[in-house]
Amino acid sequence: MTQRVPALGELEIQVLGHLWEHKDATAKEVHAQLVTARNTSANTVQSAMERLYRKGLLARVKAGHSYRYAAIVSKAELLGELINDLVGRFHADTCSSAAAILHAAERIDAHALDCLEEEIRKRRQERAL
Amino acid sequence: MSSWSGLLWMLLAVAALAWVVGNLIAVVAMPAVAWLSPRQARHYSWALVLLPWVLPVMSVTVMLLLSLAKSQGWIVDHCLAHQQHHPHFCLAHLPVIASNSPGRFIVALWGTLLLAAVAAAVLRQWHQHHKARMFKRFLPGRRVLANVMDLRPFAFTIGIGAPTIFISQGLKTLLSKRELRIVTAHEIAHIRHRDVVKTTVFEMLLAAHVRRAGLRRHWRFATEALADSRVTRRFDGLELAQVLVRLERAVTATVYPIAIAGADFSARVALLLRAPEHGKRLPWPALAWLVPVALPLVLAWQHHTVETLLGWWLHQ
Repeated sequence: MTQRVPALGELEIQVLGHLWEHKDATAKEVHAQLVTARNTSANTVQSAMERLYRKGLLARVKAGHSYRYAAIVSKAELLGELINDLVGRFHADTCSSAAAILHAAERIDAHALDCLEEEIRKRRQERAL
Repeated sequence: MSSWSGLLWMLLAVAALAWVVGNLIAVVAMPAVAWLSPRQARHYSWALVLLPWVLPVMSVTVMLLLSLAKSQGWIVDHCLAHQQHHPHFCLAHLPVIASNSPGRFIVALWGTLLLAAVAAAVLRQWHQHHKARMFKRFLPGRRVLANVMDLRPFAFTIGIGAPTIFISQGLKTLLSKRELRIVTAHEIAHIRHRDVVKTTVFEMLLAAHVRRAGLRRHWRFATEALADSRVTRRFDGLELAQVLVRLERAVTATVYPIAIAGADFSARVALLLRAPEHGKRLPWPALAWLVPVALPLVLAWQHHTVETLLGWWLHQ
């Protein structure tokens, strides 16, 4: 998955979660699982799965009168892209919702890192004495 | 054109000019941030980012007060001594502005572009926070510290109302327990001082700036360096420097597109190797705050010159 993650609502996330666990399912099967957790109609679940299909996150095959949906992207892939979106790709400069520990855009060569580590080691030795 | 709208156009023109001055001062004064300690750099960055907002507001306010003062006779009313078509900041003698003046068009264009930039910035921040909420929904329960099954070494904090620290499996594999505590302490420092909220507000205020990259970079560096300095209250600064170097090695060695952002790595390590709170203690932040007070007062003092300039600009 190379595109940015589309915006997903709470129901869409729950549907995805279900499909990651159960490989594929119809809207009715998903609704049967989700109805105990939230008060949602079958039509609402159907619409959510249709939206996910249009967003390119689900594939579907015709099964009788209904469709069987399956997730195209795995949870790890989706989360990975979401992390990239949130924290910024290493050459981007627009990120504010995350406060993170290290900037990857600055490329330091191995020699410079060796020098820094040597300097740190020396300072620690001086302190120990 | 009615005269109240003439006064409005004059005030908008003053706001536009003050905005230009605010941007110019921010660009000229920005390099000084690099000389300051992280704490001072943050305060200074706030002062600079607010300039294109505060200056127009203060200038318009002062001109409105001036208009009221002249109409009430609190100051000498010389409006009738001016030539015709010389616009006045006066509520008793409202100005008439030509409806087809290029100056009016420029002011309208400026206002539209500024509103569009601000709206885009607000929308961008909203999308980012929506994605952050989306990401948190993938993890069950409400937790402050969460594990992410990702091989890349990273740690970040997201969320405004209920921030969560996410630490990747890759980072846990790379670092020792003590080093992980150092990383967690850094992220907790961000939460304690509401850095996510402050950075969000800062990004939205940046929308009024023409040149944003420099100020953004200084802000980010100061934010990360401040979090580092807070960590050094509990842990050795050299230990933190060592953690940063190990992370940077992991970042440069990996084939994955590392999705972590922060600030100037080598400058942060250099800061940790020096004494804490390095940097000159200069009154720059205080001086920066004087500008929003001084400029409107100068405008009020020289309001006749401003009226003449606006008359030339908006009447042409």
